[in-house]
This record gives sequence, structure tokens and C-alpha cells, in this order.
Amino acid sequence: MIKRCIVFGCVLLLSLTGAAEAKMLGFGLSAFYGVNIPLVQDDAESGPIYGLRAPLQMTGSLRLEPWFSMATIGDYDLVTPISGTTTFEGGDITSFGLNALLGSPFNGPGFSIAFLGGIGSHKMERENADTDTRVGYNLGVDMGIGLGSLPLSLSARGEGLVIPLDGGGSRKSALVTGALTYKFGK
Amino acid sequence: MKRIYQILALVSLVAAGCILSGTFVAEVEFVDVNTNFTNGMIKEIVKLSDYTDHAEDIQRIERLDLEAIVVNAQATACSLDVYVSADSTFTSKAQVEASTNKYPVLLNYVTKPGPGSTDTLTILEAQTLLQLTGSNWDSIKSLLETGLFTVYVTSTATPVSGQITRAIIIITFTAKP
Repeated sequence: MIKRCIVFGCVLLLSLTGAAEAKMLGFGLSAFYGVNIPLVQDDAESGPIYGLRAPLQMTGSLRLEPWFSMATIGDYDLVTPISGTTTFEGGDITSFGLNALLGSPFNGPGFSIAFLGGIGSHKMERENADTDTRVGYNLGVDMGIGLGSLPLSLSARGEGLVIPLDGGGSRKSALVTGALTYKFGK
Repeated sequence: MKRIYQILALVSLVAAGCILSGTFVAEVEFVDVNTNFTNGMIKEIVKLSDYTDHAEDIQRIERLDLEAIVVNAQATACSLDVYVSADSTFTSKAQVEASTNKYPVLLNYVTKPGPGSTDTLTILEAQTLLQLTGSNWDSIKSLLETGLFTVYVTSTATPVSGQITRAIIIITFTAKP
């Protein structure tokens, strides 16, 4: 736990130091919705994910992005010889964290693309299991398009998420989301 | 910019250590079934590698379920308990109950009165009787992670007349693929 806090603190400190040194060129608020697709998990199915991001454009290519999300782990069916099909409740994941993106600014005109890495805290709640809060890491790509003269943009994002568990294993998911972003100020 | 690369490198390194793992389900079906309870119990030695390719690389037990079909050959109902242990040498219900080296998985499954009645214990019914909490669950998980353990089914009736005609333990675990 202490190790995770140190890693999380270091990343946050580095990000904030960078933010302080850089000139912030704009900020916005994104609402996103999509699907959380468990990878190599026999005990989970896909479920929705939604939340908020607050993109902060620091330089022409650097963007920082605090975020909050809620995801559902889809119910899954287990087929066994005696019981037949048994449906198990999937669960919920509540998360927050920080992304750093490199690429086109989110608030510019036309098409934008950015690559991202992030760190977050993920609280996993499942039926018949203890609530588990873990640090996770995500990597991905974000593609967006500005809506003409309006302070709005649409974007699509694909991410891979890894949440390490005790004992060396991990929960892995692919996140595919779409977002509508409102840009504040000029 | 350099800081961002450092962050991404740090994240990649941490993630790489656990990226090669998955969550799997193993169905362990009892081999020694259709035998009568002997000295008040039925025993099954389980070697997980017989049921999954991932037994050597188990990192974490996620959940445990079970299901069974039981035939009660006596006129009165009886109550069955299920234990797991690292010790495979117990030969009687009394030895199982006296041992401190055993952990209860399921307690007090009451069969219908017989003779000849058949009870089907489904996964959902079993869930209401499972004892998988606290330190007991931690101990069971540690035992299962070793990949070798013994399951004991004991009955409150003495003498016991009946059989388990089919029993399956379902183990959900995280392991390297």
C-alpha cells in the first residue's frame, strides 16, 4: 500500500511540477460514455463505463487530465454439469486518476490525436468478495474533432487498463469511450 | 516533455510485471464418488494440475463454489459438512473433526429423508451455506494456491448410509496464462 502511494505521489508530483512550469493554454470539461471490456477474465463480461474528465492544455502538445469514472463489470454465466447455467453478478468499479496526453491540443480546430498514459485508484466491488481498492495504469490513444466555431469537440478513445492485484496477478480491460468536451474561455 | 516520457516509462515498467496473467475457472470433479460414506466421511484428494493447465502458476484464488448430487439411503435426514485440508491421511469423521488442520468450506447441508431420496445441491444453494469469510477464507485460499489438497465430506448421521453420486468444486483463480 505504501509502495503504491509513493508511486502515485511521484507521478502526481511530476505532473503538477510540469503543469506549474508550463503555460496553461486552455481547459475544458468532458463527459464520456463507453464500454469496459474485460480481457482474459473468465469471471467478467463487458459493461458500461461513464464519467468526467477535465482536460488542461498545458503546452501545444502536453495535456493533463484529471478524471473520474464509474464502470460496471457485466454479469457472467457459468455453465456446470449439475447446476446448469448460473449467473453471477459482475460488480462495479469506481475510479479516479490523472492522465498525461501528448499530441494535438483538444481545443484546436479540426482533427486531433494524442497518446496518453495515466494512473488511477480503482475501487472494485463484487458480490461475495471484499471491496478491493487498487492503483491501476492505463495507456491509450485519443482522437477528436472540433465542431467548427462552437466551443465543443467530439472524441473517441481506446485505452488498455491494468489493475495489479495482490499475489502478482492483475485485472485487465480495454476501454472504448466517446466524449463530448466543452472548452472554457477562448 | 522529458518528465512525461519518464512517467510513461515508470507506468510501463510497473504494468509489465503483471500484464501476463488472466482469470480462469477450473471444474474439479470428484473421482471417488458412488462409494458409501466410510466411517462417516467421503474423501477426495485433489491435484489441481489434473484439472487445469495453470495450476503451477496460480497467483490468487478469486472464489470457490461447489455443487453435488447426494443420495440418502436412510429414513431420516442427515446433515453434511465439507472441509478442505492439507492432510490427506484422515480415515474417519472423528479424525477430521478433531483436527486443527482443516477448514470448513460448507456446513449444515441437510438432505431430504430417505431412503433413496436424491438431493441436488446447486451452486446458488451452496452459496448460502459457504463459510468463505475472514481468516478461514484466507487459509482456504492459501491451501488451494498450493494446488494439492484433500476434500472431506462428513455427515452428522451415524452410521451414514448413502452416497455422493456426483460432486464438483469450481475454483476461479488468477494465474499466468
